Amino acid sequence: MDIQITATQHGTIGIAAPKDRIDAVNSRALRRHFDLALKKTNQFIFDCRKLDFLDSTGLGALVSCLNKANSAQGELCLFGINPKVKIIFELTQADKLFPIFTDMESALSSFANRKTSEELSQ
Amino acid sequence: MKIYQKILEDVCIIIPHGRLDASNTHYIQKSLSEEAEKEGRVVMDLSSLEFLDSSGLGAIISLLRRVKKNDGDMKLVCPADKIRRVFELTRADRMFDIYDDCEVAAKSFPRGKA
Amino acid sequence: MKTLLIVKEKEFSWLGSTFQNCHPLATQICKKPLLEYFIDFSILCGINDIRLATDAPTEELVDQFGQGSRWGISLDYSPVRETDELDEIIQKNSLYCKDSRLLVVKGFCFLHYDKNIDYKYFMHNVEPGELSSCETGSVRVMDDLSQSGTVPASDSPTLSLSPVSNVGDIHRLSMEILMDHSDQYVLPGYNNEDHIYIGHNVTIAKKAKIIPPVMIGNHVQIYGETVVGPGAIIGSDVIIDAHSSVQDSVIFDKTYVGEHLELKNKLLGGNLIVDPDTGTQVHLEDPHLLSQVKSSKKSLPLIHRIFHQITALLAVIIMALPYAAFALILKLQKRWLNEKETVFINSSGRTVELVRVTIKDDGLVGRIARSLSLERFPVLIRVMQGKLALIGSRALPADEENRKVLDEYQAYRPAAFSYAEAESWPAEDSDWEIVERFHLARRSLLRDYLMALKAVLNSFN
Repeated sequence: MDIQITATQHGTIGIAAPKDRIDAVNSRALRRHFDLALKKTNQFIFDCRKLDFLDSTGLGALVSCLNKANSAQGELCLFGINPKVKIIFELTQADKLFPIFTDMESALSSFANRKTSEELSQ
Repeated sequence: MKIYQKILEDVCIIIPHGRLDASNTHYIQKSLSEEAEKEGRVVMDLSSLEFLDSSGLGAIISLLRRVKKNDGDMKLVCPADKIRRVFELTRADRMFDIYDDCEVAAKSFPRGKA
Repeated sequence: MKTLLIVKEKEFSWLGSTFQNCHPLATQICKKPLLEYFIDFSILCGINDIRLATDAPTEELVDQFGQGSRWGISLDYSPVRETDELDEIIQKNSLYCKDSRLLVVKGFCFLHYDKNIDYKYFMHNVEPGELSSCETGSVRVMDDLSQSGTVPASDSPTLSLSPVSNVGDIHRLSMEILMDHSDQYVLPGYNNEDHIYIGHNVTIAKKAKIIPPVMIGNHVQIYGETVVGPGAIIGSDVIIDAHSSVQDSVIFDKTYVGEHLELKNKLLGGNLIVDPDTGTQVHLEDPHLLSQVKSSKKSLPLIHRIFHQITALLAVIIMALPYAAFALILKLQKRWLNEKETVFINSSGRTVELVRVTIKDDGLVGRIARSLSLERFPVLIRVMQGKLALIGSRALPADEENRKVLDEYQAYRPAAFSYAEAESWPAEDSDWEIVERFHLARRSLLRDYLMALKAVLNSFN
C-alpha cells in the first residue's frame, strides 16, 4: 500500500489509494508506509474509491494514522467511500472522527480552506 | 396392497390402497397398461394410500417418467396428509401436478388432443 | 369461509441472500412472522381453515406453525407449480375451495388490518372481487355460488396491502407498526407501558436507557450505558454490549452487538448489516463487533458419529490386506486409477479432498475387488476421521453449481455410501436427491446400519 507524495498548490500531500480491503493482513504495511510518509508531509488524503471492506484491525490502523497526522499538526481526510465501507464507518462511529469528502477536489480544497484560515489567524 | 383402476372417459385412474413399499412396487409398475401409457393421460389417486416408502415413491416417479416419454402426463391426487408430506419432504412434489379432487384432476388434461 | 394464501418462491427469492435462518413467510415484522398476521386476520374474519399454496419447500414452516392448532385453526399446505395461474391453483384445491366463500391472498405482501374491527359481517356480505392490491400482491373474495352481497359503503372497513419486495420494505413496515399502529395488531411481549413491549428473561443494566417505542424479545441482555430506542425492534437471544446505541433499527434473533457501536436506521442479524434505504449489505468479520449468538446446531448425535467412525475403522482393518494386494495387482496392470476430487462435507460449504478409485477391469480380479468395495477404501479412511458419514448423501464435488444446490439442501450429509445406491434407486440422474431427502429425514442408527449393509450387499451383485 504505497503512499505517493505529491506537490500540489495546497502543499505537499501524501495520497494513499487502498485497494479491496484493509485488514489484519495489510494494516501493518499501511502503518509502516504511513510512518515513512509522515517524515515528508503531514497532510494526507486517502482515496477510498477502490476500498471494499474494512475489518476492525484495518479501522484501527486508519485511526492510528489519523492520530499521528493530527499530532504532527497535520490532517488526514478520506474521499470516495463506497456504501459498504460507509456502513462500517457509521456503525463504529468512525465517521465522526474523519473528515470525509465525496471527491478529490473537495478533499483538496479543504486543505486550502484550512491554510487560509490559519493564515488569517496568524 | 390393492390397486383399483378405472377409466374415466380417456383418462386412466390408478388407485392404490394400503401400503406401497418395496414388497409391492412391481404391482404399481404393472398397473399401467401399455395402452394407457401410450394415451398418456394418467391420474394416480393416493387418497386411499396409508403408507409410502422410498421404493414406493421411486415406483411412482418411474411411472411418471414412462408416461412423460410419450408426451403424456401423470397427475397426482393427494390430500394434505402424511403421504403428501413425503412428496414435500423429498421435493418430489415439484415433478407433479397435485390435486385434492380426483375428478378435477382427470378433467385437467388438455382436451382436443388426438 | 376459508383462506387460500398463494405465494410463489420467485416472489421472495430476493430474501434468500439476506437473513437466511428462517422461511420467508416466517420473516418477522415487529417480531411477528408474516404468516401469523394472515392467520390473525383470518381469525378476525371468522375463518378456521387456511391453506397455503406454494411451490417453495415448507418443512421449516411446518416445524414452526404445524397444523395451526396453536391458533385454534386448521392450517395446511398445498404444493403447486411455479407456472400455475390462479385458476389452476383453485382447480388443484377444488375440494378445499368447493362450497365455500374464499378469501384469497396472492403474493408476498403485507395486509394492514385492525384487530379492533370485526370483519366477520363484512366478509360474509361483501361482493366478490378484489378488495385491495399492491405491486406484489392482491387480496380478493371469491365465490363460486356468486351470490351478490351488499355492504353499506360507510361500514366497510378499509383493508390495504403493502408490497414486501426488498429489505427496505421489512424495515419500513416494522417501524410504521411500532411507531404508529401497534394497537392494530397483536404483538408479542408484555406491554405494561405504552409503546414498550418486552419479552421474558430480559436483563437491562441500570445505566442502560430505554426510549419508547421499543420491542424487545426473549432472553435479551442489554449492558450499561447503552441507549435503546426510539424505534428499536430487538429479537430474541440478542446481546447488546455497553456504550452502544440502537435507533430506528431492527435486530433479528441471535445477534451479538459489540461495544461502542451506533446503529441508526439499519437492519441486522448475525454478522450481516443492511442499510434499508440503499439495500447495501455488509458481512462484518469481527466477532467482537457483530456476530451470530451460537445456538446448538442440528448435527448428528455423538453416538451416530461414533457408530459411523467405528464401523469405518473395522472396515478399514478388514479391508487393509485385500486392499494392498488387489491395488498392487491392478496397479501393475494399470487398471487401478486414482483420482483426486474435492467435495463438500457440509451444507455451509466446507470441503475435503477425496481419492476416488476407478477399477478398470472386468475380469475376475476386478470383479472381486469391486464386490469387496475396495475402491472405497480411501474414502472409508475419511469416514474414520469423521469427515464423512458411512451412509448418507452422495458427496458432491466442490463447484459453483453444487454450492447452489447446497443452499437448499441443509440436510446434506455426504458419505462413503449413498442412500441412492443402497436402494439401487433411481434410474434417472436427477432423482438421487429425492431418495436422499427421504432417508435423511428419517435417519436413525438402526436404519443407517441396515442401509449401509444394503449398499455393501448391492456391490456384491
